[in-house]
Amino acid sequence: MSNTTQIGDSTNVSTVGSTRPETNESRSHFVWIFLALAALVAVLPAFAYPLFLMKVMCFAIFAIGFNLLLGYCGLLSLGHAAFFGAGGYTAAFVAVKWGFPPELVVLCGVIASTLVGAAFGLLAIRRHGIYLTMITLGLAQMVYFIVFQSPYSGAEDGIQGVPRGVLFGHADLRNDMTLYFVVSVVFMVVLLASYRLTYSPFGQVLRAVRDSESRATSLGLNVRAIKLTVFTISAAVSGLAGAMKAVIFQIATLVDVHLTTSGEVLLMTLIGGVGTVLGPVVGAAVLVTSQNYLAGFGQWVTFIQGFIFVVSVLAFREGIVGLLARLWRRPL
Amino acid sequence: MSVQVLAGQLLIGLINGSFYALLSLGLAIIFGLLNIVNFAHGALYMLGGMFAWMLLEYAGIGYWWALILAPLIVGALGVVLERGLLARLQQVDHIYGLLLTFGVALMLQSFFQGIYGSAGMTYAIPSELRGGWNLGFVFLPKYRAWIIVLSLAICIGVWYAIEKSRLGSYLRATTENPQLVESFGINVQALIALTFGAGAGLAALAGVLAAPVYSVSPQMGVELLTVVFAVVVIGGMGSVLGAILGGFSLGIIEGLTKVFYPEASSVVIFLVMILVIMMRPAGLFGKF
Amino acid sequence: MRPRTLLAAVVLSTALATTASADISGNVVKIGVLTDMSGPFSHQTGPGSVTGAELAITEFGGKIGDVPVELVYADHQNKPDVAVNLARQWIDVDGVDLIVDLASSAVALAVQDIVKEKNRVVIFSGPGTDRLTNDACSPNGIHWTYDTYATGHSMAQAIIESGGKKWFFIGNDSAFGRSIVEVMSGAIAKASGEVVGEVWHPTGANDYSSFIMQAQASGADVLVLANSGTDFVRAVKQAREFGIEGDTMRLVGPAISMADILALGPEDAQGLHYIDAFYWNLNDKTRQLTEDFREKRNVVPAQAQAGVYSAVRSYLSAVDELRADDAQAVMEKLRHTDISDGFTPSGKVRADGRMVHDMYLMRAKGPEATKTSEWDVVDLVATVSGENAYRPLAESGCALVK
Repeated sequence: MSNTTQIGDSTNVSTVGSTRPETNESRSHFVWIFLALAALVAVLPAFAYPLFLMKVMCFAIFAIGFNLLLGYCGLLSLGHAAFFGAGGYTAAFVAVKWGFPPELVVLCGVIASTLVGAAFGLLAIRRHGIYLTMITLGLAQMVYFIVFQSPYSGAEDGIQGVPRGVLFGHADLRNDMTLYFVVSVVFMVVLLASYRLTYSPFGQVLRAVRDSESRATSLGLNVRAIKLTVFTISAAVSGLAGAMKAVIFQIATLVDVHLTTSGEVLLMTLIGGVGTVLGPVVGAAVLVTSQNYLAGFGQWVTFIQGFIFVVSVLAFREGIVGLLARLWRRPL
Repeated sequence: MSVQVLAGQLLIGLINGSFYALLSLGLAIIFGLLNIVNFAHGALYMLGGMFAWMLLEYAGIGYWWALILAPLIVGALGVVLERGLLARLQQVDHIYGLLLTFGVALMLQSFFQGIYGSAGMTYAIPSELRGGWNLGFVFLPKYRAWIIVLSLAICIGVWYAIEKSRLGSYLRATTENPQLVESFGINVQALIALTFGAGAGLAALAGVLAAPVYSVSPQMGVELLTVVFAVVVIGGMGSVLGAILGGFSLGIIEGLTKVFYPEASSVVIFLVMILVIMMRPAGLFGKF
Repeated sequence: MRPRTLLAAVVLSTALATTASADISGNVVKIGVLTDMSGPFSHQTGPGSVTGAELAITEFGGKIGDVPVELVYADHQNKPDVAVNLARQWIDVDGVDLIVDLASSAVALAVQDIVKEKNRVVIFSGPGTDRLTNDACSPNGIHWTYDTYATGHSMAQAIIESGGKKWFFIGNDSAFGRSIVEVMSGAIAKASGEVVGEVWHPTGANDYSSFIMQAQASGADVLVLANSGTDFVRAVKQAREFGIEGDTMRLVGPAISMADILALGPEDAQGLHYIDAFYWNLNDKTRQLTEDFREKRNVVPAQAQAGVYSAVRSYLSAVDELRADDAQAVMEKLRHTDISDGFTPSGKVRADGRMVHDMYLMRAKGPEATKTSEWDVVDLVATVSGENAYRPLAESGCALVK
C-alpha cells in the first residue's frame, strides 16, 4: 500500500471495501432487512412513478453484477457497459425482429452478455491490476465501435419500439403494474442470490483470491478459472439488467454501451459501498434518484456527481452501507 | 494511392502524434513516480487550452505568453491537487487515486461546460505562424510544423532531464525506493508534488498547442484521454521513452487508418493496445 | 398522499374536468419543451427554444378562454432513454398535451412512437431526420422547421446551378450525416455531376487534415462538410489552414446554422454557403420576432428556436379555435391552417406531417462587408420555395399518404 507497490503484482484490490463478510458472523438481521425491502418494493408504486422505480431496480441489478467483480474479487473493470449494452441490444433485436416473447428476449440478452463477458474475461485475466482494467476499457471501446457500425443496431437511433410482449403467455407486460411486479420479483431474486453467493464457499474463494492470489494458488485453487467464472457471472447479471431495461423502456441506445455508463455503475457501487450486499442497491437508488430530480440542472448534475465521487474517495470509501455496517457492527 | 499522398498522410500523422507524445509523457511521468493513474490528465489538457483562451479573452494576453503562463498555472494547480487530495490517499490502495482523479476530471469538465456550454471557442493561430509552405506532395501549414518542432524539443528535453540529470536520478530513485531516498535527505514529498505539477504542466502545454487548430471546448480532453492511456499502456506504464515513441507511432498508425478505414480511426489504438498487452505484458518498454 | 385522499382527489378532478368550460383535458393546456439544454445542440435549440415557446404563450396572454396555458421544459441530454422516460412521465403523470422541439434525431424518433401510442401531439423543430415524415410518419406528429432532405436537396441544387461539377464529401458518420450526403448525391447524379470521393469521420473528431488532403488530391471543385457545430467549425478552420479558400474549391455546409457562422468569425466563414429555414432580416415580422428574442435572451433566434415559437403559436391558435385539445382534432385543424408569423410568411402542414415553407440559401459575409449589427453576418442569396425544397408527396414512404 506504500508507493513501492508495483502495479502488476499479485495483490489486486485488496483493501477495497471495508466489510469483509465472514461466515461465522451473525446474519439473522438479513432476514428482517430482506422482508422490509420486499414490503417497501410492494408499497412504493403508490408514491412514486413505477417506471422510475423499475429503472432503479434495473440499475441495482447492474450494480450487483459489477460489485461481484470489484467488491468480492477485487477486479476493477471499466468496460461493464459492454455487458449491459450487449444484453440490451440483443434483447431489443430479438424482440423487434423476431417477435420473441419476453422470457426468451431476456434470456437471449443474458446469453449474449455472458458470451461477451467470457471473451473479455479470457483476455483480461491474463494480466493484473491496471493492465486488467485497461484491457476491459479497450475492449469496451471496441464493442462500442462494433455496435455503432453494425447495421443491426440502428446507430444513434438505437433500436426503438421494443415490444414488451406477454410473459409466459399470460401476463401482459404493457400494463406498467404487471411489469413492475415481474421486475420486483427478478430484483429480489438477484439480490437474494448475491447474498447467498457472498456467504457461500464460492464467496470465500473469491475473497481469498482478492486478498492474495499467490496464497490462493498455493492452497490449490485454480485462480484463473475462478476469475473467469466471476467475470462471466458478473457479465451475465449486468446483461440481465440491460435486457430488462430494454424491455421496460422499449429502447436500446448507444448510451448503454458507452464509457459513461461504465463510470456510472462504478460510482453507484462506490457510493453504496463496495463489497457489501446492500451497497449496490442503495448506490443505484441514490444515483438514479439524483439524476431524475437534478435533471433540470444539466451539466451541474455531472459536477455534483464528480464532487460526490471525490468526497467518497477521500473520506467515505466505505460507502453508505459500509458506514451503516460499521456503526451497527454487522455486515450489510 | 500514390506515394506522394501517402507521404503527406504520414506527415499529418506525425503532427497528430506530437500531441499524443506530449500527453503520454506527462501521464507516464506521473505514473512512474506516483503510481497514480491520472484520469484527470485530459481535463488538465483542457485547462491548458481553456486558460490560453481566457488569457486572451479577459486579459488580452496572447499566444506566446500563454504558452508559458498556462502550463505554469495548471502546474501549480497540479501541485495543489496532489498535496491537497492525492497525498491523502498514499496509504490506501492505488485504485482510489485513480477514482479520485476521475472525479476531479468530471468536476472540471462539467464546471467549464456549465459556464461556457459545449460548443467550444475558437482561438486564432498567432499571426507569426499563419500560412504555410507548398512542399509539392503536401501543403504544410507553418503552425503544424511548429507543433512538431516544439513537441520534439520538449520530449527530448524531458527525456534527457529524467535520464541524464541529477534531478532525474532522484526521480528515478524515488520510483524504486522512496524511503531510502528520503533517508538521504531528499524531500520526497516535495519531489512528488512537483513531479505531478510538471506532468500537469505538460498536459496544459499540449492544450495551448492544440487551441489554435483543434479549438477549445470543455470536453476536448475526454476522447483524447482514453487514447492517451492506450498509448501509455503500449509504451509501458512507467517508461518515458515508451510514451514518446508510442505517441508518435500512434499518430502515424491513426493517420494511415484515416486513409483506409477512417471510421475506425478512433478505435484502432485499442486494438493495438490489446495486442501489445497480450504479447508483452508490461508494454513495449515497460519495467514490470 | 394517502390512498383515500388520492382517490378523492382523482374523483374530484375528474368531476371538475368534465364540468370544465371546454373540452380541454385537465383544464389546462400544458406544453412541454423537450430539448438539449446544455449539450452540442443547445445553441440551436435548448434555452432558446423555451424562449420561443414563452413568446408564443405570451401572445395569447397565457390562457385560452379562461383555461391557463402552462409551460414545462426538460433536458434530455440527447439520450433517447432519458427522453423516452421524460415523455412518458409528462404524458402519464403531468398531463402534457403538446411536446415540442426534441433537438436531436434519435430522440425524435423515439418520442414519435410514444406520442402516437398515447395520442397526444408532438411538433419537431430541432431534429433534422426526414424519416419523421417518411417511413416513421405519424398522425400525431408534425415536422416543423427543416429536414435533411430539404437542406441537402436545396443545397445541391443551388451549387449545381452555379457550376459545381466535382464533389468531395467529408461527412459525420451518423444517420444525420449519411442522410444528407445520400440526398445530395442523388441530386448531383441527376444533374450529371460527379462525386469524386467521400470520407466519414466519427463525431467529435479533432483533426480533419488527413481528409482535407484527400479532398485536395481528388481534384474536386466543391468540398461538402456534412457536419455541424464544433466539428464543422474545426473542419473549416483547418481547411483554411491548408489553403482552401476562394473559388478553387468551394466550401459548402449543408447542415449548419448561423450560430456556426458566428462561431467561425468572418475571416474563416467568408463565402460559406448554407441553407436556413429562418432569416432574421426577411421582413418586419421576422425582425420583430428577432427583437423579442434579443430582449429576452440577448441572442438571435436560430431556425429551430424560431420554429418552436411558430409551432406553439399555431398549436395554441388551433386549440383556441376548437376550444378543445383532442389530439386528432387539433392535428386536423393544423393541416388546414395557413401559417404566417414571425418565423415564415407562408407555410402549410401536409398530410404526412411535414410543414412545408420557404427555405433560404445564405452566404456568409466577409470581414470587409458592411454590417448593421454584430449578427448581420450573412446575406440572403436566393429563396427556395417549399414545394421545391421538400420531398414531394409522390415520393414519400409515409403510410398515411400511400
